[in-house]
Amino acid sequence: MASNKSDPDSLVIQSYLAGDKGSFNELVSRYERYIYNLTYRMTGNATDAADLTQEIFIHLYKKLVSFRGDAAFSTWLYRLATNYCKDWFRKESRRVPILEIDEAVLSDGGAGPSQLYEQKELQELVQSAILALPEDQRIAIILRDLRGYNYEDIANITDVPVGTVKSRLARARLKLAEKLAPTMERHGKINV
Amino acid sequence: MNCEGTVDLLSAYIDDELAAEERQHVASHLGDCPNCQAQLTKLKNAVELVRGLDDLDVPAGVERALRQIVEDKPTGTSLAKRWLAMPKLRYLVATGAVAAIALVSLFSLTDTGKLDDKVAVKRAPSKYESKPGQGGPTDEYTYSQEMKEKNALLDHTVGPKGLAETHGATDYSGAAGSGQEEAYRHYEKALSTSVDEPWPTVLISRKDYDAASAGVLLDDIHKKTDGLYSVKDAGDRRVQTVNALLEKVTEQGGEGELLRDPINALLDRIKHAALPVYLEKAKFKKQDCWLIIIKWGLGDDKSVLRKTSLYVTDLSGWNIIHSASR
Repeated sequence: MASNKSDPDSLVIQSYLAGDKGSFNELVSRYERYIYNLTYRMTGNATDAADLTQEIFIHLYKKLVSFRGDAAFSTWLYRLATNYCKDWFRKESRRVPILEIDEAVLSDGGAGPSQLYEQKELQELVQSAILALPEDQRIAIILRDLRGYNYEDIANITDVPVGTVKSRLARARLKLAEKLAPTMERHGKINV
Repeated sequence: MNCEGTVDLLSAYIDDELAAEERQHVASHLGDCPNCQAQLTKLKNAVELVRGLDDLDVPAGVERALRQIVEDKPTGTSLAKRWLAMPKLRYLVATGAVAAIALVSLFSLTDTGKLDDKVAVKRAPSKYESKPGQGGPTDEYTYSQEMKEKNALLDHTVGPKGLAETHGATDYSGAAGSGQEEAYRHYEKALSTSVDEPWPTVLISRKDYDAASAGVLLDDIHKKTDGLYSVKDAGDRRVQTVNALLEKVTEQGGEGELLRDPINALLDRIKHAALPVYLEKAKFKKQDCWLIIIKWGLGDDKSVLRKTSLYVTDLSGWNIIHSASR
């Protein structure tokens, strides 16, 4: 592995590669939450997210020796994870269940559920809108808006030019805005 | 710059990822164009909604499984075997056992008499029924025999072959083995060692409750589940318990997965250690409903969940029709 002192995970990985297998669990601790949230937002359900998270870390365990340190470990791990997710969707033609927002969730026009329920409903709506995006756009949105990566990082993770990231995000946000506009009006939280 | 060119750049404008010159052009156009301003607001709102999504906790079972990886030392050729040994499978097996145990507690709860493991069972009206003469016969649920439970479990169990088919990549084309037999042994062991454990119950019925009869049900479950669960259980078993409930609903012809979020929302709403113990699809004042009973409590890990709450919701699980606590 090339030495990359600016990578906060560098020492842990070196320790792991030097034989301290327990260091793997340190990486698990640092990234399990990110990967679980990535897989949850990609699949929209906790069961698949749990399975995928485990499979991705098993994959990491086997592939970590090939990490060369050319990129930050987090970038490398996200690339591994997003590729794994895409592969997972391709296998056996898995399809993400898409809720029809208007029918499935907006059916009861705010008939007095508690604030918590409204918040939960809102989360469901946004998740449904994300699930309706094509995979590449979904990944771009998750990396940008939920993980806060800049365009260059997203380009590195997804192995496409920055311009492609820009257009994926633009298309994704237009779709999200169209789908979520009724929601925003209904919840009255944001005036459009 | 025209509207079409501007709209294409608004997303990057929001992210401050435009070159200085482009940014200046966009800003200039926005100053003169109310339509593009409105579009910008719409996009910003969508971004805000996405960024407002919850950051989810990793389920405890997944955390444990991940820390098991380094112990199991998976390799390319033995991954399927390792899968059979890892917590994920144990979890599935446990879930199957949970379903079986739910069956036991259900019959214990509803006084249905001896379970004939060869024949499907029809349950007699229970004491919880508010108007036993109405609504026709109570052919609430038809249970399959024990072998069906086992087969259902094995259907859910990922054996080496299934794994290889699912993840056909080289890394996952591990050695074939006696995966189903092994899973079956796990299942039998779980079944034989856990019959005394309290587990949730699911019932599909045509009973028509009202507040009084629902209260009788709540009292009864409150007593039967007293002392069975601790605060620690609520932390450790929540995911498994919810999964068991949902699987049982699905097995009985419902769409269990649709109830996951409403039930989790109810558990979260209680804001203390909480576990669902009973789920019944029935009617409440002639309206189709779910009766969801949750044990909850406070204190340290060893504290017992002494409180019991009933939520009667519509079939979506989201809208509460009636609630009561003991």
